[in-house]
Amino acid sequence: MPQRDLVAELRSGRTPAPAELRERVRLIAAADASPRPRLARLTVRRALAVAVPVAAAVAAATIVLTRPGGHPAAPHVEAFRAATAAPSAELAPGATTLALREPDARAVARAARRAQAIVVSLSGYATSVEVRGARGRLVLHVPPANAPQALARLRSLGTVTRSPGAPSQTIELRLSAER
Amino acid sequence: MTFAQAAERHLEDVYGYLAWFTGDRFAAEDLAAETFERALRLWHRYDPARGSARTWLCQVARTVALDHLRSERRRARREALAAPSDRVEPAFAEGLSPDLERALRDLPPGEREVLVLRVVLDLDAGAAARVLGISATNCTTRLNRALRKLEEALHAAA
Repeated sequence: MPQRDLVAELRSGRTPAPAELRERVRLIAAADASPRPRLARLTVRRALAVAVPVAAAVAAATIVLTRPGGHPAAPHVEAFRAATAAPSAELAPGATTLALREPDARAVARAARRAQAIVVSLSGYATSVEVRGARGRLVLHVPPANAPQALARLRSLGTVTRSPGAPSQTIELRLSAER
Repeated sequence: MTFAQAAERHLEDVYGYLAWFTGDRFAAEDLAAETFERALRLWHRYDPARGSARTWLCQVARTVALDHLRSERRRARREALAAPSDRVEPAFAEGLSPDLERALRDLPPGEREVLVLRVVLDLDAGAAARVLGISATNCTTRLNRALRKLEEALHAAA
């Protein structure tokens, strides 16, 4: 076969993407509905130039404030600590818990990312995401009207081990790996 | 261009590239999803002045595929010790003759990927070379070698 015919045959071959893959990519892309941020030029060096002095200041403040035998912290320091503490991931009353099992730790991380993409695509957001190795816990909020659809799509991310009854706008998603 | 637009426009290209490179359309499906997940995290680094979104996505896909092939090789070595492989050989693309499919399967992945980038996706030598991390001359040499091998295999089959 002449090379021209060979190239023509190679070009004629089609590899259409399956519908399921299209849906998966659509969900991933839904997490980035906004245009490109102007911080695109932020380099590692620039980030370090800001982060290193800030980290040093925080470390110095921590040493001073937690020095044993030192003076008790002033009220305004306590207020500052309370205000800058990690946000609480407490669940609102009426929240529902969905527990899923994944094949391994990598699948847990993947399911956590997809779960966030799902709620974002349904006009929701994640208030808390904790993924450590084989376990993950996410607190997700969706508009009440989208809650049933969110639950249905979240269920498809793994093997359901605990399913909530009625859908709620606050969903606690627990992920665990089999191994 | 937003990430969603780039993903929509180039999904077929990324999936096709991965299917040809890995020779496994099922694996390519997972790898394509992983590529777009990784690309979303790295999207802030994409600079349109340095190349098209398609070229950049193919570069990300290549990194994902190489990670997969390395782990796949380790897995295959382990399995070969335990039992003979019963893996189903998948097709690279629809519409190719069985002889060409067979000839493609016999090519090393490195030659298949230059074929898909230059011939199927029609990237120019510079863009394909950027994806592969080699010079444009080297890319052209590799393409000619792959085409010659295919020609020889088809001639032998005929």
